[in-house]
Amino acid sequence: MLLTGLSSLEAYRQLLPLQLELDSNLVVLTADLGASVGVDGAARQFPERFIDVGIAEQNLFGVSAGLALEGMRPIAHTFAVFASLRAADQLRTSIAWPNLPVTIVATNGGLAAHSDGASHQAIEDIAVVRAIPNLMVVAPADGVAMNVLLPQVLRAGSPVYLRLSKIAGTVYPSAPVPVLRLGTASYLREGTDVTLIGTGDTVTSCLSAAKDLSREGIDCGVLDMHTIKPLDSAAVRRAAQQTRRIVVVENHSVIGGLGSSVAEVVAGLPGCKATVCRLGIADTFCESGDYEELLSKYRLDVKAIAAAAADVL
Amino acid sequence: MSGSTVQLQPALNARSGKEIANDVRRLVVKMIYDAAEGHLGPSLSIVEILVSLYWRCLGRHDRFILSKGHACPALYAVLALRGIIDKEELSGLRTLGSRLQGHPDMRKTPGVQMSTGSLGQGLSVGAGIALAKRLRGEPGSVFVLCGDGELQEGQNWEAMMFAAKCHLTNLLLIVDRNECQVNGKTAHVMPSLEPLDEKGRAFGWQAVQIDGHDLDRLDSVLSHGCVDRPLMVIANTCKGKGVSFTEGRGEWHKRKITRDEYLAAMAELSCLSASAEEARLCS
Repeated sequence: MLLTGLSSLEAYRQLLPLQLELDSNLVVLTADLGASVGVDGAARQFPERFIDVGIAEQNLFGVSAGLALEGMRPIAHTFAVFASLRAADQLRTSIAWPNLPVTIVATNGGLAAHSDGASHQAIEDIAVVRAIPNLMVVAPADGVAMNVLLPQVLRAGSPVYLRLSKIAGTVYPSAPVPVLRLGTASYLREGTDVTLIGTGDTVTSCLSAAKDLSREGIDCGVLDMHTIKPLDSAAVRRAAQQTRRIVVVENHSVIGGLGSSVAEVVAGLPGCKATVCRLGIADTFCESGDYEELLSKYRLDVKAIAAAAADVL
Repeated sequence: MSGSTVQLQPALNARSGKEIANDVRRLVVKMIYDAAEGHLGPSLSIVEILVSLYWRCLGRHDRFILSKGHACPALYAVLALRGIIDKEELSGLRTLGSRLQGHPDMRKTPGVQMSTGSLGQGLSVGAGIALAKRLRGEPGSVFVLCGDGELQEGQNWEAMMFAAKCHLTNLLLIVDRNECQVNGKTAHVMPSLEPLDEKGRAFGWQAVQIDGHDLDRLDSVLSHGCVDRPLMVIANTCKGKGVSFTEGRGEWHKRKITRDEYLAAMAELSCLSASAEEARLCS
């Protein structure tokens, strides 16, 4: 299976049926969504393990909790806005509080839901789920990363919020298979001037920006922070100490997401004088448009990332 | 393990259901008096329902979820009388370090099968359990106990639709229809909650209405179970049942009990032919 250059969502769509084959305990749930949450292949191949609760996300999470109580391994799929906001109480109280092993697959984070507009663009989800105890938050950078992280996510034995994106990622080659561990950031580039930290679909842009910056003589490190929670604070500390300048790039509000999480760690480092620049949606609802145009307008494209890194120097 | 299914022993002594219900009420009153806080009214209205379940109906393959989690003092009292938790623990309700939390926590309390407290969530969870049993061909029924005010939460109706879709004939919803909620009578806060039984049927369930304090009727309906669709049992009850000055009184939703009130309540709830041990714990 060639996963290079695929988005995390596209790879997931292909990988899910294989996981269902391996583990008879897995069961796929959704709230009237199909291809947009990567379950179409699984629904066709394993109809007896595909449960559609209809347009009812709160019930989606409650039913998932019930299945988990009986020893099954449910994966609940919906859009990030609904997973983190509409059914936040159910996620927190029925899944996270009793620490039930439910995987929540959330798609359309940030501007990825570009043409649908503000109602479907989740710019707050990381901020919300980060604050819920017992809940791991993971955002694979591309299809190759998805393949390595998915088995770990499904076997975590505790709740995981898996943020997937339909935006193609070109971070990892297929071979050698990258060694990615949940909870440990992946070093893509070493650098001495500034460190870019990305997650999910921003990692590809961070790498491109780093290459552009190196042509201008700026030595840029890049970290793939695929596990937003628990954050690899040791990696953040190293970046702060080695480069003293960090730019965090996320397809999410600048409030409460990965940038805030990194800033929290850096602010707590004794005697460390490091600057954290948070790139993301500047606390505004966005709008419909072409994805590249939106990235440009809302300052999340490669040009904006490179400019922010240059600025912070 | 906390939250594991209830393994019930048959009642070894010859106490009647009424006597057991009385014991439960005495333990609930004392528990909430000791804690200086607790939901007395909502706990007292479900006593017969719990006695019927825990002494007659629940088998080893069955599951029970107290969706109206704030009534957990009644559940804790039942678990103590069934020997699943120690009676001595009851006085620690809501205190730091106690296994008896203000709302049920399955990770802390043996016999609590699901954590609840935020209303409207238990039926979805029950539907998920019922579905898991279906998928695996496993026996047993799932009993979910909710409040009538609680049914104002939309999620319940999502679960109702879903249960009908999946033909979950192993799922029973017992509604504690005590006609009260925090801000007054349900008929005042949300009159269009009625007709509840018709709503249940419209959502594809069978719906019956019974006297929620009639143990024989409860035994009969709950052990008979579902016929060809999920079953909603509307149990008409009285909030604060069993103590004259709390019956039907909204202010007893959640408040401390004064010493005078405690003594008066315990005097009313006499220990009927108590065993020596239970007489000690009841007083």
